[in-house]
Amino acid sequence: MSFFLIPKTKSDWFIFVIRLIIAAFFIYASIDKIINPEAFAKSIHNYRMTPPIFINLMAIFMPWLELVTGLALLIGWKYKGANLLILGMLAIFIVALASAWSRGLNINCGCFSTASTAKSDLLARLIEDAIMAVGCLIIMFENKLFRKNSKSLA
Amino acid sequence: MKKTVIEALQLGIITIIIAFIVNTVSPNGITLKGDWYDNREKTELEIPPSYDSAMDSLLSMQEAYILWKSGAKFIDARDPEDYETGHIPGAISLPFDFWDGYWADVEPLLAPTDTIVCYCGGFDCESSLFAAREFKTIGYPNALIFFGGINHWEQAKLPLEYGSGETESISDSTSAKEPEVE
Repeated sequence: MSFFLIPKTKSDWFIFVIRLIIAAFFIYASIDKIINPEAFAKSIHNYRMTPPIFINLMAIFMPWLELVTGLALLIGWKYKGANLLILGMLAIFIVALASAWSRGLNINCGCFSTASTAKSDLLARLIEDAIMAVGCLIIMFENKLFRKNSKSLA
Repeated sequence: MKKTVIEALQLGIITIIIAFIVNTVSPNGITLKGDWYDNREKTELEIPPSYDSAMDSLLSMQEAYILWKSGAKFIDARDPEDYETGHIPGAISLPFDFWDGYWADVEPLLAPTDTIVCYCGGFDCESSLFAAREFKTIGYPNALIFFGGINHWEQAKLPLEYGSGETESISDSTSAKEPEVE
């Protein structure tokens, strides 16, 4: 357990900043969905991709997964595992957004807000998620990329 | 990598516990199952699974359109709710699942020599096929199947009529463009 390790090297700082940015996105994105699970379920339904039986289960589970993994990534507790889960979520989001965009669906993506008026640009969200996925891959392979001892950080 | 996967599983379990406890106690909590209809895009079948070339006559989009223009009797074999949300103009509602309840009202509108075109929702819906077979059985030999149904009709941007059939079409059916589908 090594919470809040102060980064020492430039590469540590680089990874720390990436973690901070992705964590901020996920924590922020989770709040409104946790408060309004019903509206988030509606957003999931709007994608026309999910079997009905999974819609509410996803609406209950996904926002908390975003919050827990975001916090874990932020404080450095089990952050490699959190990073893997975030990468998985991003992969799902990217597939869903790309599918909705290619089908020309005019929907609220349900990314940050569940309000039906919060129409967002699906393509912009898609690019955002792709960039975060690259960040996750950098965190995942930080030891190989920066050739450091895995014990040096969290 | 193994450690990472174990961490991910631990976080996943922690999240499941928190999420479902909070959902249970929260005033905004939702039911686990929900009441959603399946709106996923279906894969369209070319031919009905029960199709039998010896007894079933399938129409293409173009053939159905020509028959519609020439005044053939169109039978909408879907449920009444689907009929009300949009049907081929002039079509008579005869839900195959509720045949007996509707037949008394439909029978006076048809003559045994009429060309009857049965349709339903397209995709994998076979009510049109079963309805056409029923018509043949009860003495209407010219019963045909438009398996593309309302789905192909909409794709061809042909007019629709809404409500119980008494309301007027949003598009003037006489000025409908030729369908784009062969």
